[in-house]
Amino acid sequence: MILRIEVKNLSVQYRAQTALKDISFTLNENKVYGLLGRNGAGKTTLLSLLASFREPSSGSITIEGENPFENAKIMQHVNFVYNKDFKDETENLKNTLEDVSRYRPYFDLEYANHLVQKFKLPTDKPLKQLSKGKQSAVMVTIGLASRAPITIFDEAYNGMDAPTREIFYQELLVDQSEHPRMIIVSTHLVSEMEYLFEEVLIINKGELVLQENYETLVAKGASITGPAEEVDSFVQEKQQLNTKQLGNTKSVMVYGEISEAERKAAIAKGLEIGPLSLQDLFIHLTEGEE
Amino acid sequence: MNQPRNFTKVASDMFFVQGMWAAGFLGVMLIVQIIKIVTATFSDHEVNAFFDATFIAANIFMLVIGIISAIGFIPHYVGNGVTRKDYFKGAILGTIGLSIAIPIVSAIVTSLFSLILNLLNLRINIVSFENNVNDPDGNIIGHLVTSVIFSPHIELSSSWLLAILIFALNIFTYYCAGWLIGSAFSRWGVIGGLLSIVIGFIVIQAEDILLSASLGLNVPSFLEDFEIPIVLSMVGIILVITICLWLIRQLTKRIIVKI
Repeated sequence: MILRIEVKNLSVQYRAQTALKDISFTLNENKVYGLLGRNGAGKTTLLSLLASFREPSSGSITIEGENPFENAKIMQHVNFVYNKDFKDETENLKNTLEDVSRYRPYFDLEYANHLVQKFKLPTDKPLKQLSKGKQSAVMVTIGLASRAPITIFDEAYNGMDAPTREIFYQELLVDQSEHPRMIIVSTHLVSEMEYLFEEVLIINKGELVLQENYETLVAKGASITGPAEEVDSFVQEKQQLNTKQLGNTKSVMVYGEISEAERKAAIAKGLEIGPLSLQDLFIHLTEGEE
Repeated sequence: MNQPRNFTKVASDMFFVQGMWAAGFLGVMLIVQIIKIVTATFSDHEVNAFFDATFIAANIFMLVIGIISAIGFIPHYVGNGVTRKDYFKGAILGTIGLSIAIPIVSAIVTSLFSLILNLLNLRINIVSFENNVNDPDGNIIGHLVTSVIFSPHIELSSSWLLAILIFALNIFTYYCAGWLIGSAFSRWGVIGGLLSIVIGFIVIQAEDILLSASLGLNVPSFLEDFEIPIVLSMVGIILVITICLWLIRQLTKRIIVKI
């Protein structure tokens, strides 16, 4: 099942502040979408609109041509995983999973138990007693095991340590390929997660900056590494995103395509051409005064 | 895509979750009752019926869980892909079930108490509390307080079906008032919330007066000359509850789930 999401001229206004400004895009494939934006860029607002947590001030969202808000047919298929506060939750994980399974038509309890073991989660303790990282793992377990056709992870890794985050990423990739569905992952940990994304959306200050295939996007620039003088002369005409230097070796991230002739010339000069890092591009596109 | 019938699931969820809280509440009341009986054997040999004791305390219990329901359950259900409407319908059904279950359980426990007291041959009199809804000095605050404590009430021994029905109607009204107050606080913040407490009290008072008038209990002096048939006051009470539920629905229909 593919549920096509269509967002048109979407805006959200909180009193005096504009959280989202005239955003339009379409998501229509079962793949992993990365939604990138700095703190306060409007990621969570956008995602909570998709999950019917709120309504837009203007513009429209449709999922399979229907307004998702208060639409039971659509809402059961959209799962929004966020940093839920479990400080008052006296229920344990076992009962919580059973509860969720009653409302999510594709919930897989066996897979949920597999994740519980992977994340080493206690099933009989009240959720409020779990650490922040374990609570995030609970939300991720519910999100993955629900197998909702539209699954949203909004900075779901919060509080997880690096090995746990790695388990999350691996499970997401494996389960998505076995049970294709649309997964939207929002993050500002770009460098760590970029290998997950097949398509990238970047929002900045409430506006959509770009929507692009990951491969196409990283081909739009390159990292040039080599002796400092050679690198400098090669990149001087180009838009530079980031520079690193160690001794006489310099590495510069440039934005803009590099022609075949340039590539050959660079190699002849002993320069190394690597892929653009999404992180550097992200910083470049979203930098500016606060 | 299929249209899920979620409200029936919500109804049974709400019945069991709130039922667990009610079990805790009745458990505490049971312990209190046992202590009261034990102390009574050493003193005046008089104790209130369990049914009467729970009748009074259940009002406050239902008011409180009504408030909790309004604040806690919407984020839970919307997060699980359930619409606000399904939550609303399910919560009403589940709570009606609970409002009937509590007096039934209470009536059964009360009967068991009398049976055990008789078997043990303990000389304890079960006495009823006096219904003094109308405070003679006309103090309005005093009247409000006593009307919460002493809601219109029928002895279990005089007509058990009517007693259970009135118990149920009464605690359901209190739940609705709490639900309204909680909804108003989450939708409008403090000012609107405080206003809704006034509306909640009006709902409770309206139910109280309508019931008292038809049961021949004490009513405020301006109503003393009226006699309302029970059928009419039931219709009136259902109308009051319906208006209250309609207000709750208006407040929660498009409510934002904040994260």
